[in-house]
Amino acid sequence: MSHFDPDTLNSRFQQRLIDAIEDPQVRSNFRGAMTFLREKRAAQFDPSDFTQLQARAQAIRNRCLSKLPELLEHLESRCQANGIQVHWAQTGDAANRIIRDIIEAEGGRKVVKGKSMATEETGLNAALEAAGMDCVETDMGEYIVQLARETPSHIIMPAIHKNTDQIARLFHEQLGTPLTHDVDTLIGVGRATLRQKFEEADIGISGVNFPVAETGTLCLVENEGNGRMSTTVPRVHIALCGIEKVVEYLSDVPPLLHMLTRSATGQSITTYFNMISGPRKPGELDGPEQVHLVLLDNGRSRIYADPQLRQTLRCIRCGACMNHCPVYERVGGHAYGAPYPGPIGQVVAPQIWGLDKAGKLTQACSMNGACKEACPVGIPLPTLIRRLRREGVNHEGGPPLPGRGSLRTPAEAALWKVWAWLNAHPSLYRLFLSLATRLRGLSPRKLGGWTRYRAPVKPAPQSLHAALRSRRRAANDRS
Amino acid sequence: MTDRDAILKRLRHFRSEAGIEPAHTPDTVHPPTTSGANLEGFIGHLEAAHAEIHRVSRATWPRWVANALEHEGWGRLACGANPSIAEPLAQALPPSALWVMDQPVEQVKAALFHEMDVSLSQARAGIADTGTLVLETGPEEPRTLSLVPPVHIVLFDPATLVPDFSHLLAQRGYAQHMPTNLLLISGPSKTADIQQTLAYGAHGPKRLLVLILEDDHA
Repeated sequence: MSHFDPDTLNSRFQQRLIDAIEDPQVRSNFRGAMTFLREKRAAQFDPSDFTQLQARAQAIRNRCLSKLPELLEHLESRCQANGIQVHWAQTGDAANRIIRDIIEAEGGRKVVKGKSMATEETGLNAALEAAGMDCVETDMGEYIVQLARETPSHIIMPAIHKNTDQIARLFHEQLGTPLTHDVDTLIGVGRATLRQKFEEADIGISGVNFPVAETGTLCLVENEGNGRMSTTVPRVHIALCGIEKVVEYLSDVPPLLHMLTRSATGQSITTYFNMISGPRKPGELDGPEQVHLVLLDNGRSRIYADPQLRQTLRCIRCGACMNHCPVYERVGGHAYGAPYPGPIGQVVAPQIWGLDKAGKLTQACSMNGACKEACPVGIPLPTLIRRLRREGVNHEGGPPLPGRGSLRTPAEAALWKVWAWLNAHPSLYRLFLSLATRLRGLSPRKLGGWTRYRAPVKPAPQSLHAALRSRRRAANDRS
Repeated sequence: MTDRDAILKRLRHFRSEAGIEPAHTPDTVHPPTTSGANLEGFIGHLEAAHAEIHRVSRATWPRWVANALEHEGWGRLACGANPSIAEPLAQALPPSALWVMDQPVEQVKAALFHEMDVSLSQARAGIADTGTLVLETGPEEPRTLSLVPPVHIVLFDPATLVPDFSHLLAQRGYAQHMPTNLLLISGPSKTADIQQTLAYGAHGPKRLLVLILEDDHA
């Protein structure tokens, strides 16, 4: 699958999970990668400091979100004063149209793109392709994924689902280079191919990690240099950025950056931290002649409505939650089918595309809480996942979430009603228990997805009450 | 209604409906506690990130560069039109080995992408707790010079070392005035996108040489 399709999030979720679980290569690739990333992160944080650093980052994000409309206006005016053109998009389609129109107006022919999850969210590549434009991904991982006509499986390391052997074969087949498993040689091939693209490109597209309202600055975090290439060499730079990301002060950046790189890849800082405050100024010899900032809503203002769900918007997209998720580690990023996989994806996708389209993603969670502990901005992910599960089957009152109550089925609702009623009537409950234990031989051997990978469930020969009673009796007899 | 107005209106509406007040007082952001601006720590971080550190005399660094060109077999070195760099280099290097970028990139792109073996920049500051070089780009320090050639040499004056990023922002007053492109560089370009195997020179320089300028001992 080369493009993300929101309509398949719920409908193909189970099939994607089955495919992932039955692919030992995927499982071993993710197992290795997640262990690596978790160990690197752990080495960067002293557990006694982490809580304090997390609280500080969380406070900054909360303050910025509480002033979101004012900060967006301030960001816009500061950017404009710096010569950056600001555009607003309510939907992903609107953002794609704005970007396509800029490229057309500028007569752009060759487009290079630095890594941006927001453009994955809007499906920008497909939209540009439909308009006859070619957009080359330049992050090594994204380039590999694009060559394979796949989607990223991790927000920080997009090609994490592939191992060296698979990438070696891909380069050999797609680029016609000699088959080699030497990583330096493979990266050299990518470098040489993409160098030419950078040299020829007239449009560069990027995301933004921190847009700063105070100074009108776009901050980008990266290790490779493709982000700098994409925002420096082409004549026009277009940045796409979710509205929730804006920070108030320049001094808010260091504490957030401190958490971002350590949480994401276990680095105290990335090779490059690129702070862009405008297009080329008179006298300067390089840099783009135009810089455009496209501010993307796409459901974010709706997420803002509910005080609990709003915590989703604190996210700085580090990926630590997926690195620590035992479900993600076993099924990998593609199983989710969404641009943002893992715990944060399970919370973001239903809120952007609706519970009717993406609500089932919340089921792939064991409520173990590892994601919440690792989150650098303290997002209570398990709580939000449980809340969204509830909203999926609940249609009374509540926040403006699309698809609320759409996952409710009459059979399941009736079952829970009976269960609640049974629990409220002690004598009937006891009768039910004694029947269940006595008729345990009749319990079904096949129970849908449950028995596909697990032994069938069977009531115990004795209820817990009965078991405790007989144990107490036995103890009394002994004394 | 424009998309802009619709988005802002929705945000304001939802905020007042939820009864949430904008936090008007900035919370005091305390810079992380560090061990001070420690040059050895700075060097340690840079070396761990695969940068090559050389302690060089402040008076004779251009000669060091000339020797390096000869030993490494680098044909051409690029630098910006900064007289405090370009002039000493012009005295130390043969004319054919020095290329000063003094024209818009459009006119010199091919030379920049294909003919330069190495570039040289001057760091404006250094950040000790992450081993980071700070480059302020501008007419005399073009952005592409620290990015396109395969080897990048940076002159660093230890007197400009600050303990951490927060101190840097405060000390240099960037909140009042940001350069068009402020760059923090903490090693050569790298990637671990192929099975977490670290490889250098992904898209930017494959090697980063840091020349720590030292006063000559009497």
